[in-house]
Amino acid sequence: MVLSGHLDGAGAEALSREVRLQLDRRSARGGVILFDLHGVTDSDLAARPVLVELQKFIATRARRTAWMDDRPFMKGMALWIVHFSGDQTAKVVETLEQAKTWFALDVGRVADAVRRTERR
Amino acid sequence: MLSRELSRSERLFLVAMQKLSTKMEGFSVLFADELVRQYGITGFLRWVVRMKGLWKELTTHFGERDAHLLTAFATMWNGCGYCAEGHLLAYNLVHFNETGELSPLDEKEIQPLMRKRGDEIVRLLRERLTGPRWAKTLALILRQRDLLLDPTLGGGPDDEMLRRAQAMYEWTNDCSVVADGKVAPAMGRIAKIPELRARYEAARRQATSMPIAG
Repeated sequence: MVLSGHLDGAGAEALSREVRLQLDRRSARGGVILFDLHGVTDSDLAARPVLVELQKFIATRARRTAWMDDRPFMKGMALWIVHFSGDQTAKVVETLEQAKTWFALDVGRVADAVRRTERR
Repeated sequence: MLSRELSRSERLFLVAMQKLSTKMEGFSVLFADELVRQYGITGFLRWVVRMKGLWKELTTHFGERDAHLLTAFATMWNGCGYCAEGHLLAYNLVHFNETGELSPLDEKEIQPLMRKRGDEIVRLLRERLTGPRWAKTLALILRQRDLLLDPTLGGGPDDEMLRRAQAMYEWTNDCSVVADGKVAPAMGRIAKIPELRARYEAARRQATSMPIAG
């Protein structure tokens, strides 16, 4: 899902409605969701709680989520959302390759990071 | 936004830990409570033990100064401006203490830097860290970046250490992101020398800066 423009509270609500509609059309839980944030120029604080609730909903319907951008400030916004959603199957990535790698795993976000801190 | 309320014992534990951290390390962080909310006291202590061990390895491998710089960029790429600013400040203080000079990267530039795209940030770092004096530092930061983007890379003498540090800060930044927008302390033992901070800030005020365009 490619996002663009200024992401404010109303924009986040519209996005949430659209994603929920698409996920409600599916009969079974599964699949992956990629949010491409490259086209988002900025975001308001009002968008965050809406997106946290959206991520919580996604956790009940999709197998894995990735939020993608290469700007650190936007990665921070996305990290805030996945953190407060409590959904360990959601992660912030920078590239499509990282997203594909994430979708192929079955370990949680923090558990994966903890595992990689260990000496090989 | 809070993920959950802390219990009384958790609050007391955190007060004790913050006092201990300030006494031992010279600073305390604003996201310790979020670590406890997420992982409980046992999980928090597990994080502390792993962090202390990895920090010791990192400083042994790269030296304290570069360990702070690499941590600043690891956390910046993860999206945590609070940690990036705190570790870049610690780097700048250590550098100033050792050389009497200012580094080309002011910690106050972290926030505008974070609004740029990855390749723009790399281009700006190449512009700032020029000449033989900064060649090794620049090479380290660029290698850290390359390893982050390409998991198939490896084999370099620093690669495993850089990868493990990046993972450690992914774990940390998952909670530290709640401190985003707050003023960061110098995140190192160098914070125990307050008069150094005053001299450093006076030197920064007198220096000609090259502001990062928004």
